[in-house]
Amino acid sequence: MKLNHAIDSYPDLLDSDHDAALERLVVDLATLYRGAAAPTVLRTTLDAALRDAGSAKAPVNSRTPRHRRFRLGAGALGTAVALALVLGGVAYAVVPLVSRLLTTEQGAPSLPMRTIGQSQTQHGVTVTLERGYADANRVLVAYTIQVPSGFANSTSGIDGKIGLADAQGLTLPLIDGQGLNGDTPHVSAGLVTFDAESLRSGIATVSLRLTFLNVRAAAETLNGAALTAGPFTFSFSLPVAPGRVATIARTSVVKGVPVTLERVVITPSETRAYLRFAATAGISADDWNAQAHISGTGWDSRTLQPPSDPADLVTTGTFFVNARGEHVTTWSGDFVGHHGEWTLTVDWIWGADTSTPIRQDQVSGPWTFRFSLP
Amino acid sequence: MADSLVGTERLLATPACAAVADDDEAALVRAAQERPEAFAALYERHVDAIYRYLQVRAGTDDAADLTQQVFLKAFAGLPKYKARGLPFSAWLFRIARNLAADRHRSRFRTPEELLPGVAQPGSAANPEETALRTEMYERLRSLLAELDLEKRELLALRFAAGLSSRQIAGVTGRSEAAVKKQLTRILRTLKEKYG
Repeated sequence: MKLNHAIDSYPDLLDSDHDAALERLVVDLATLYRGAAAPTVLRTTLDAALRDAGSAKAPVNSRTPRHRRFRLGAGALGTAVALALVLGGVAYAVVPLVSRLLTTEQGAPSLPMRTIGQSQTQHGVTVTLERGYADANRVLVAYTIQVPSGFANSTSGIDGKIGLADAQGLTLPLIDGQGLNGDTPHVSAGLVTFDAESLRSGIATVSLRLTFLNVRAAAETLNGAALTAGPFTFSFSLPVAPGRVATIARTSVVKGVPVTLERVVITPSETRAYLRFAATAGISADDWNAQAHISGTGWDSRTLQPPSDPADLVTTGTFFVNARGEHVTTWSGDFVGHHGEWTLTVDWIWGADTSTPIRQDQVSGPWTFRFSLP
Repeated sequence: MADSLVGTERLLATPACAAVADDDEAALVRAAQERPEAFAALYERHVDAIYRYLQVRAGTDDAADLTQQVFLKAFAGLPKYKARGLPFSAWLFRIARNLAADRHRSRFRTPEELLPGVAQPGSAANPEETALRTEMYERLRSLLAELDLEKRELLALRFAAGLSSRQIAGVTGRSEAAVKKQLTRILRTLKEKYG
């Protein structure tokens, strides 16, 4: 790639004054991020899928506006006066940082996050658990990390570095993590989400232990040694927001294909439908998904007034396969307040294996399940 | 990079052309809302950028599958799509972001990386130059690894997806000025370390 191409392609990043080092950086970034074009075979299979989807009159995902609820927590406060003084200087900046971070997680801003407020310091690195939330579907924990001057911000890294377990030692799988740098130097925030499906049902409070195996902060000087501190282990309790479980265990057969709706779990952070259907066409069960929507008297997840963020239109209807082989479809809207008759419709199921050769299969429904929620 | 850029990408990559591209795109969206077969034009326009972004965001193994899901979702949602000030391309990339996050969720993995793959130095004049380029790309990649996820994603949207600052603003929910400022800061920091 020639430099003048960089100037043509990235004029917004380059000053009018010639800066060879900056141009070189932009060129190298462009090269580094350069990826292959979409495989040709993808176009072929997608063409077919779009044709099928078109003939099935694909639905639109939507979601309900969330109910804003707050509950003030009585979390434990700082561990020592000295630490409190240190943290006091950054508290003003930290609070909006955590709030800003929460907006990046689906549904989190409207959840009644409880203040945890526990801090630990090792080797000049302070980890503070700021807020947490738990229900039968998800546990969310927001934290901040302050590193000493001379070191770059760290959100600790999350993959294999943060673990959550309940009082019985049951590990909750980590399903997502995000980080954000603060306006105050050396302070960053992280938000981790865990799958709470395995928590005992009906509990009002859950005792948890969150462990950061280590926190690593790179030196701000080029050849400086990185700082590593840890492990940090925090014990705390969170109220478990009430939800509802509707056990359905009903099978609907369309075109000879049975789909079973086992249950629906409705909590403020998420609603989940647990489905079972057979994977076919040589495609792994993990690569099969269901497209579904839910509706009730006077409401439908596809036509509810969308929230202000248009991207939310497509955040509903996510899916994964759990350890029991159930296909779980989720909606991140808060459906706790919807009582009466519910209809869950599986519009279609599809499987896609993108290893070579790409395989794909799709069966259009609808499979319809009607049930009542008091 | 420039050698492989097609016209659409050049339009998307250049802020000065973004308004023209958006107007053109709005017409394509209206056509696709009226005639499903017209969706093909939107698909052709964005598929490579979406795929490249997802390669960085979710890894090469998942990029093809996720790209497929992005367009299926977009196709399904198109009849109800309203710009609301958000260009179609930004909406599409938001779908991609959400699906990438969902994929992490479905596989119980985390988006810790968000880093580009190891670059190939290409047809350098000699082995020494090849080795030097490889070393520089590795060094740049390690500098990127020190950035937080937010900064890495901005770079992925700018360089892998080829979005303009205005389009990135639409995807990330920030102002165009804030995106430009942050990109400038990131580059300045990287430049100081990269030399």
